[in-house]
Amino acid sequence: MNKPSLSKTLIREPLIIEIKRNALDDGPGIRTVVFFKGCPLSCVWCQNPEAINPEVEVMFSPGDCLHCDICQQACPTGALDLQRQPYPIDLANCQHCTVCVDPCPSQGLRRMGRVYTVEELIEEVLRDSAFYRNSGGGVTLSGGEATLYPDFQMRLLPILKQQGIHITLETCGYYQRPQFERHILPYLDLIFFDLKFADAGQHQRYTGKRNDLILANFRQLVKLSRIPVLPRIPLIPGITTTPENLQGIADFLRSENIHEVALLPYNPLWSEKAEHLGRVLTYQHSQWLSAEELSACSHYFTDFKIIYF
Amino acid sequence: MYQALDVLGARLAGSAMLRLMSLSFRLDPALRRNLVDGKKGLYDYVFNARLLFRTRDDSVLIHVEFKEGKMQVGRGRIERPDLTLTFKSPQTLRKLFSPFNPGDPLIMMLENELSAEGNMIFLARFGHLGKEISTGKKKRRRLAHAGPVPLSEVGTTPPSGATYNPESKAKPFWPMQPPGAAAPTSNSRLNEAPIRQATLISSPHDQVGVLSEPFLSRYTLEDFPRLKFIRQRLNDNPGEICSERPRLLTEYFLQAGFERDASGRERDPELRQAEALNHILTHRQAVIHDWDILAGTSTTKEVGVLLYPEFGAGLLWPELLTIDERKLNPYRITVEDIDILNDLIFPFWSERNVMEYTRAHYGNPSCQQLNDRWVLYFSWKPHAVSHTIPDFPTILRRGLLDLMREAQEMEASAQTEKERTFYLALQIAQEGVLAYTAHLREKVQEMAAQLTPRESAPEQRRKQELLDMAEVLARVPAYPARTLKEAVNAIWLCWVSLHMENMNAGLSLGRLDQWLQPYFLQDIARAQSEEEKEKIIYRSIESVGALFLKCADHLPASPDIGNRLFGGSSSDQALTLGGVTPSGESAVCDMTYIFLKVTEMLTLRDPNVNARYYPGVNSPEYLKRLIEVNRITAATPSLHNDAAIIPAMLQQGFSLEDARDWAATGCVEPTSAGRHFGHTNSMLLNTVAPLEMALHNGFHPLLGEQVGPETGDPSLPGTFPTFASFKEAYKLQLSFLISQAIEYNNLLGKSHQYLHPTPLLSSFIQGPIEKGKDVIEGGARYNSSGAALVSITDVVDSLMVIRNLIYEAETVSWTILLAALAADFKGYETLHALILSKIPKFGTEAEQPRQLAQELIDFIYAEYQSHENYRGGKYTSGFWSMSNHVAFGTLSGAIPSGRRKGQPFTPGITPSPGVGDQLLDNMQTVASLKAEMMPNNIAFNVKIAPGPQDTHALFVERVAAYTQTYFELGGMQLQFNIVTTETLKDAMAHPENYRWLLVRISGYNAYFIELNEDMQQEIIRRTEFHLEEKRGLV
Repeated sequence: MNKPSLSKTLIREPLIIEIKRNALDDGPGIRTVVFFKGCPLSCVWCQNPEAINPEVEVMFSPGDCLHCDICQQACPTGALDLQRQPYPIDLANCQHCTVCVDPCPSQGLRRMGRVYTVEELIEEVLRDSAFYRNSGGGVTLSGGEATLYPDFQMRLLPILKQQGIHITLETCGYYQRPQFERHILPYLDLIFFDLKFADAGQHQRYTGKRNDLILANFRQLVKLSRIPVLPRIPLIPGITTTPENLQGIADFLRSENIHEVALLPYNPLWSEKAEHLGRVLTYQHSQWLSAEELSACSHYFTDFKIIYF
Repeated sequence: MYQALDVLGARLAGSAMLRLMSLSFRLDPALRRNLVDGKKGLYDYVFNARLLFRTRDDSVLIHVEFKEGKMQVGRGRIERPDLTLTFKSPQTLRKLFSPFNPGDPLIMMLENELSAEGNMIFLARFGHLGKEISTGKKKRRRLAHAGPVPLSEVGTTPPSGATYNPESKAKPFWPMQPPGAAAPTSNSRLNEAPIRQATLISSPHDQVGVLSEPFLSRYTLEDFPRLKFIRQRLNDNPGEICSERPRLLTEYFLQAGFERDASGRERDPELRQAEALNHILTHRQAVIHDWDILAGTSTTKEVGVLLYPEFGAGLLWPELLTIDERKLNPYRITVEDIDILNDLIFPFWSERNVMEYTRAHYGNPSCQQLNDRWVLYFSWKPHAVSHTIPDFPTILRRGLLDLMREAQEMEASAQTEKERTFYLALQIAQEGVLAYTAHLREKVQEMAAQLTPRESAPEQRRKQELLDMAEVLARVPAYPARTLKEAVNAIWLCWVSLHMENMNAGLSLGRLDQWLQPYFLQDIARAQSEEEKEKIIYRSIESVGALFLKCADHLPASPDIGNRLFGGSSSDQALTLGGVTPSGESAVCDMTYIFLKVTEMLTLRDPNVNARYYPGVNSPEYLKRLIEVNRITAATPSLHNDAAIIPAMLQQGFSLEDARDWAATGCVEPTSAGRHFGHTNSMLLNTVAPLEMALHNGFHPLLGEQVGPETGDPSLPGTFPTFASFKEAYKLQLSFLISQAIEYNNLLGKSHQYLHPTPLLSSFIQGPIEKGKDVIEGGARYNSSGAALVSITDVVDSLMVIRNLIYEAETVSWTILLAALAADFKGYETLHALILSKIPKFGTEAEQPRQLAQELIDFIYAEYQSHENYRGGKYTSGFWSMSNHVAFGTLSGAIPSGRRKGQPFTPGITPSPGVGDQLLDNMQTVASLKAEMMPNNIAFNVKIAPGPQDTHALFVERVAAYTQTYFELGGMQLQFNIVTTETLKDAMAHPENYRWLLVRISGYNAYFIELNEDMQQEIIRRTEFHLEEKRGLV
């Protein structure tokens, strides 16, 4: 994977992986979640591996494939071979032109990421505004990392705000503060802020980046913000669930005078998606988080109000 | 051409069996009595008929003539056959004559193995004759000596421990102890969920003045031992054929004459029917069951099957000997009932029933023959015109004596003989109701007298109850009701009487919460203390509960074919709650909540509870309560949007007040309650059949016949140069079927006018008294006929495929598509996948299919409105399907939408399951369709699987938000199934644990375990929406 540096925000139209409607777990009420493609982190357990790379990718679903070979014939570079397991595309030779996708009669090949204009996206999310109104719902920006695209958000968010839409952001916290505070924060109603590690080295090891910026952003946000900011901790067995880490995060939150936290239990379904994108996995764990494990994790937060996702 | 050997085999088998039958009749005088006899001295009947059996290509031709007790079999044709059976192949002909397992001719028709032309009752009778020979004697012996078949042998229905014991009648006629010792075998999972969520209730802003806590969460069924006992009685009793009504009816006409009286004068139909009804009501047994507080029963049995031989009951003929053994919905039957139906009742009505009278009178019209093919349209009129609502408020306010006095005055001042006769008939009919009431009163007095004061406390209590009943019966329905108890009993007595006149198919109860609220308030006003007030509330719940359970004391007589067509359907007595008053204010009141409490506690399929909701007028708390009851019962009430339905009714010419006073009829159809005769289920029309016909130039592939006009053969190049030209062909075929179905309905309506005017119904609906004519003649204030269009979704999705692949992308040719359909997509997997995954479907955000649906709906509306019915009313179109989307589907080939041969279509106007988990798009699409163009309403199914972690409050909040939004967007109707697929699958495997598991089909409710397997699978296959995703991280 040839991944560009994402330490800076991207000044171009973002790709969007999915606009998920009728979402009930990404903020209050009935919501539409917009998944932006591209993330500054690359966590080894990433639940949405298709959202890491900002470029378009092709997802292969072996269960839907009819083995009709139409895609092979369409590929201009011969990078696609249905015999290749588990992912049929040789990424070294692939030009990411995605011409293989359209002729596929089933859902065997799917294009991950498409460009939406601001207008298109607004039309799409306003479609359900009556449902938002009656349920206290709204729009959730997710990804990937929505803050990577302040240029886009500064055109999108004021219009949503004007329409009275409740806006939630789900963020990894790795953003450039000036642009965030200027173009994104003023329009938000709720923030889910992921905290993964207390220790910078661990953070570097498992997500590809240190956590100094994230923690600084969190501190600043909590200090400034007039809206609720809910820290969320992904519980990744053997990685984030170590006693030192959970204790460390709890201490950090206490020091910031925060007493509410969301715990996100591990979901193993991501690894199949990653394989279907041709990724090489460096972390594997096929079990759901058990109730006992969850209870053990929550032990570190007994003085917090815990929200379970 | 068939194989010569098959032809020979069929000829031999057919002839041999028929000759064997003939021989049996010759040798056995007991059997011969089936053909000719005056055995009972009641009715001297002879079965004279000519039958022809043939294959489609005439390679096999056998005829039979029944004449004066002889049966003669011959080869070749016969002149003027009364019935011709045309078999698809020699094999299917052999099947009918299989000595081991003979086919049921009606089911064979449904499966398209044979088609019949001629008298269907003769066909039924012929089916019965075969069974008489093979099993008649054995069966009668068994029934006479061994008692009924133990229920454990009777397939799926009731659980163990429920074995029927006729000897149990020896016990005292009410139990000494409340029931409950017998462990309820029902699906306690559902019923034990009375979730007491008082937190949900802030005070609703409706007309709730008495109930401080309108959800009544302090009560459960355990608090009502009477209701629990009667419900258990229903549980233990799958239904028993009751011959009382048809016997009294037939006996009356044997004495008094049907066509002509003893002096040979032609009888006036109105008077004839009034006298027949009066005879029935006067001579019925007065039956009071244990624990009853409402007097009157629909039959002499605890749960009885009502028979209407003047309509379709004769179709039960071939099952008389086996109906207690059939797999689905078995009914008990006695030898006496078998004999009287076989010897007297069915023969008498063989040619006097609506269906055969119409056939004979109009020369077996082609519109009737098309109906007999099952797959094109299904007309309800041979069976009933009951889909309407009586004017209970007037009955309660004035009493029958006052109504009779009015009729008498009108009679005195009538201008014509016909009118005079009509007014006289009204009085005779109503007098019958009073006679029946008087007999019931004598009965309860007699029962009370048997209880001496020395008896135990429960007996004394019962004695007092009986005396109270006698007092109520002295008052109503003759005089105005004064209390809720009187009002409820008056409604029940009139209801029973109406069912003596009209088939128990869709006759509906109307706005009972509105109509009973004044009596409830009067009762409450008499209360001296809070304690007394609570007692009145308790008794009101009990009275309404007793009425619900009474409504379940009868079942429609469903031949086995009915299990396929309307599986699990009850009498569909719709009841409607809430909404707005005629002046536009919120109508939600104390009684609305009492009815909801009863609905929740009893979880019955019948009455079919419907709730109206007017966004912005009714309170959000009321909507939440409706959702909560749905969650607890899994499927009821169905929800309707006043803001959409009232304008749709205005467009049909109702005044604003009368439009606001609507109630659901049968399934979902709006009727202006008490003043509108709208036979809202006059026909169900398969909208997919004309698509198959358009694809084959008017030929229906599975029927193997040219049905419609020749609109062009798409396989020939250039026949349809554009998509629009093909769409036109579809519309021509559709229009053809609509006009045929309407023509048939109008002929049937005329037959009803002669055979079956309904003076009692006419005296309970506004209009006939002023107009001086029966409702069947157009006497009601408002007249219309309603149609249900089945599975338009499948048509839209199919047309989208044609448009996209053939005319826009041009990637598929007509030749390939037609070949794929003929092959049921076998060998065309790529095309099939392309269709399923790439073509925009109805119910997604795509605009094209939505517009196409609207275009077809508008077209259908205009077609129906352009016709007038036989009593001067308009035809209205609606989009719901009962369960015909399954039955029609089994008779249809593969269609371009990708649905394969024989698979069910989609129910109502619900997007197809292939569209996937897109609840909001589904809702928005259906809500966007113009209500005014669907005046006979829709059925929109939403199946929600409750998750293990959904809290009750959150579930209710969220589903209420969906519903509120769907209604704000203009959706007319919405019905839920709130059940998981696992539960449904478990219920298929262990039906004994799910006796009361309620499901919504398309408009009506049924118990899941009573459905045929196709229907069970269809419900399982419906898209399941989840409120909570099982998911960890984002």
